[in-house]
Amino acid sequence: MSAVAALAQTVLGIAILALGVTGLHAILARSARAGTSRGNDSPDAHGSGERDRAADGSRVSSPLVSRSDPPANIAVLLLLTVAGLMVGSLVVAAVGHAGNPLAYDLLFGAVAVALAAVGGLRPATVVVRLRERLPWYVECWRPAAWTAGGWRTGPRRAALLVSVPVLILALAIGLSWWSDETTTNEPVTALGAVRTQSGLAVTVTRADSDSGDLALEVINSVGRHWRTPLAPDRDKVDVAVENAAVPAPTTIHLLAGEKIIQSITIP
Amino acid sequence: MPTESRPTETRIIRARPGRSRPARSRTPSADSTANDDTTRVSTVDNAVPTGGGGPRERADTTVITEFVPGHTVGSVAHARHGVYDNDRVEESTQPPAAHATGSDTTVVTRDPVADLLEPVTGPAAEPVGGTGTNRGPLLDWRSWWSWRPRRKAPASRDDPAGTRSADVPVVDGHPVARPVTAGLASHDLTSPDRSRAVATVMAAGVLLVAVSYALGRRGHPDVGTALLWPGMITVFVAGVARLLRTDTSRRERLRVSVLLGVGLYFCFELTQIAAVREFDELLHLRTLLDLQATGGVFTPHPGLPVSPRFPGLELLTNAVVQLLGVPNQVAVIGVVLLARVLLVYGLFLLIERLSRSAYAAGVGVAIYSCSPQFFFFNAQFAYQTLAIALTVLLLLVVVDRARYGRVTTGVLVVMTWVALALTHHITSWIAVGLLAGWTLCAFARRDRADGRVLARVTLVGLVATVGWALVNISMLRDYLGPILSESFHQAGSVASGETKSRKMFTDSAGTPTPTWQIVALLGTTLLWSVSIVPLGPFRFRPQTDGRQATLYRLLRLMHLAFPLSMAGTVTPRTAELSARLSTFVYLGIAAVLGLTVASYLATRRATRQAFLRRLTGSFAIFVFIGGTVLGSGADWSRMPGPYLVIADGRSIDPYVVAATRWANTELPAGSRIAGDRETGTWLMSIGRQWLVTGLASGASAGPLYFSTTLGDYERAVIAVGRIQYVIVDTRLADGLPHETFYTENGEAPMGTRLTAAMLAKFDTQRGSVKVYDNGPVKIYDVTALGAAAPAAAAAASPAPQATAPRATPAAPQPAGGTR
Repeated sequence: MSAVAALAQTVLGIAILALGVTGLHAILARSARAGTSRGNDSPDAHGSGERDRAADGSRVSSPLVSRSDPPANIAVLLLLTVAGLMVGSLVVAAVGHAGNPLAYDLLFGAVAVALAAVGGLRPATVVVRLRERLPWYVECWRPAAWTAGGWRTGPRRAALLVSVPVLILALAIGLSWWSDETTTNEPVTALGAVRTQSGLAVTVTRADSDSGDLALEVINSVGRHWRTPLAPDRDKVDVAVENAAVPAPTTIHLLAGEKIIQSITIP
Repeated sequence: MPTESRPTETRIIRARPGRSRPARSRTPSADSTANDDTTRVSTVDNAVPTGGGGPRERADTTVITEFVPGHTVGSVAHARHGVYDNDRVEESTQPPAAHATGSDTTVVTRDPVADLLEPVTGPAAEPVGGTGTNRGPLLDWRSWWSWRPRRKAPASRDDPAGTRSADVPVVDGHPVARPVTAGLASHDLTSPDRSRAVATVMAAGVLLVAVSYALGRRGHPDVGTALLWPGMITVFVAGVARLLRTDTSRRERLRVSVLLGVGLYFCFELTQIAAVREFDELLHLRTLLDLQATGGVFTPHPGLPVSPRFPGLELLTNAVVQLLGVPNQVAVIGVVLLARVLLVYGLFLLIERLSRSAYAAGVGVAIYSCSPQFFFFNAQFAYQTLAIALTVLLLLVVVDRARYGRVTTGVLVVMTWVALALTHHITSWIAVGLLAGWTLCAFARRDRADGRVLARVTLVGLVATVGWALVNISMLRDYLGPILSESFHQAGSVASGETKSRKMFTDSAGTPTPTWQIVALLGTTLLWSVSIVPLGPFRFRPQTDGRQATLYRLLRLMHLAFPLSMAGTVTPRTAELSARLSTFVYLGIAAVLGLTVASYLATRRATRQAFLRRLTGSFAIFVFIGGTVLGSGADWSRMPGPYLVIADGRSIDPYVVAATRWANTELPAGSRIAGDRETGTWLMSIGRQWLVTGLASGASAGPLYFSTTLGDYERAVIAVGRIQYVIVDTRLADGLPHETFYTENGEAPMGTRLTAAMLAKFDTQRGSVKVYDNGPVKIYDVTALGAAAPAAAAAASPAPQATAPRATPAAPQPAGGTR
């Protein structure tokens, strides 16, 4: 996948997820509000007896609990998102398209649009909300506002405070990634070969510490030698089937100077 | 405040001594908009006992204290009107019209321990008062038994020095109690939000951990280990210090709890940030790669056959990969991070619902972060990681079902059960057990309505999990059957004295656990065991009320099961089971002790509170170290570094990676290979080759390594397993495996060590052809040996997956056996 296609896929995926989660949030919020009003109007709303209604009542009037979360609290929202992605992915995999991004885009895109529609999200509403919010954000981030005491208040300060741990964490991740990547994928001197339809495929990798020229020596079953120097940037040598070295078993040496450092035999 | 006369309604609620009751300021029907984001609320301030009797008039408060013989202490609650915005209470300057004619003042008379819950219920009600105005009467000889320690009253922004306390009437040198009246700045009882500062400190701790790992990778694991613990403790202490404070707001507690979980997750994940390397993770990565390669589910798995049958984690990860177009490793980290956030967030809300205390919830999360599997195993890309989060959220949904209405709750419950059943077998069964126990508790409490609802939820779970288990019964039997039977066998042998218990505090390679870690480990076990006994601070067992009490009691039972889970560590197999069990036992410990510790701390005298908080913090560090050591094992398992023999990530080095890369490109996909536990699994996962194992192939390649020649038996092993390639890492001869066995369970008698001669036999044996060599790691083509040995196979019948004795496991043993 090209970089542009990957970027487009990422943008599309984020849009689908954002739309779906927003729609789901709207549905949950509406459901919670309806549930609450039902719960207070109907004696059977909680399906409990008098004692439990009293207990629930005390709980509802508790200063902490019932009002502590928005109606569609994020845990339930994320739970449904996770479960939805899982079940949707199962559906895609059931028809054998788990490796196809388009199948996911189509399925989850349709679901996201449906959720947004059921949740009552309208483009006009979004536009109005953007018109309300965007100027405020733009105003906050105008360069003129970055002077003097501007740092002490408003979103700039918040962004600064949030960015500090984020940057430190990014530094930690970057350091670990770099050290892990360079340590694990450190090149090593290796020699491998397999017989192919067209002959032999000989693979050579070299460690950074290797110095000097490497050469490949192939010896066939009757002792005939075939030697080729390896270019520094070359890690694979295909030995054609018509080559004299091919008859099995074939012994392959990797030479540094005149010294054999690796040796394998291909039947 | 206005002093005009207006109708008031005063209720008196008398609680029975010895039982904790919540303060009820209003009737349920008066709260019809309870769940709105921004809601007018009436909150309850706690007050300290009043010293006098009879009604007294104040500006807008009617105070009634009522004397009950032997119960001279009363509590006053004052209705306070305000606007609720998420978790912030802002006082309105004028009471709402509805309240002007309604009940705006409430007086509650309660028993001496009635306030144990309220003082810790978050920003609106915790801690009491604003300054010294809340000081209650000092100890009175007539009410000595009902004495409650005074709580510290944090300074408000308006009066940081507490100067207003000078206004308090003093009698006999002691301030006279008076009821709390809601001031405009009452919400300033909580200290400013420090979550960003906490995040910064935690990030610095994570950076220190990253530096330690970088040092380890550069060949200095000892130096790295010396830095690792300070880094991890920095992350932990930064969170716990805020969670233990009584004046932290609820919002900050929630943020800090999530930050704590995320911070500790990164401490683990940075060991393998570029590619997963733990054994269990590699098994699940293979399932994910199969899903993407074949496009379908249920592709046979060579290492963990049940994994494709419970593909919830991989399905979710693949959805992220396909939707967002990110690499697998990024999606893996993102999904596990999401599971961690869900677990911590859900646990916080669950404990909060049960205890009605954000303080207890925060402390509970801190306790759970000390559990053995929190740092290590439940941070891995493995199905239990997601399943435990789903279980907690399921409990939360059931507790919170009244908020959503029947339809939404039904959808939530069904979706969660389906997700859980698809994700992990054992966790889903335990979740069914929890719900069944909860149902029984409800019926035992004669709450039939609640019991019926719970029974329906349990039934849905039972149908989903048992139904799916029945579909996969043969695989589950093959997988779990030997584990359970061996557990019983080993436990029976130890109990009857036939065999000794496993060697403690050393791994299977003989690497000893440092003494200070042993002390922390034993001390932690002792502390959690003592917490069961109602002594000292643990004698606080606040009751929850209402419907949530049933679940709370069930969690108490889980807390009581802690010694049982520790008893299982005496044998290797039961140790694995008890390690898994601890994930759930600690849910009970977190819920119960969260409330206990929070209540204890919140009800201490102000002068002692700071000391006790520091003491509790010190104990928390101690148990965090003990729990982490217990769950993650020896130092080498936490620290990247030079190659070690069969030691999870420490065995994956550039040589193994280079060999895998070559095999991945040059060997036919799905070639049947024999390899050691680490290289073979890496090759099976990343290279998508078929690793021959007893579990999935019906033949174990393990015995192939333990001889100096390739005789009939070895040829038979190759023939039965249809092995094409053998991977040999010559460094296996350097020592005993750190992870119990070289290849798989039952490979050779316990303690058998591979030698260089055993590994060199593939170089000299006719029919064994070396096709790859990078020095330490060699790959041999043994197809010719297998083809030449059908007769030998028939004659020898090695039954390779036999039950040979296994090596001594490590103590403490990192998780990894029962996957």
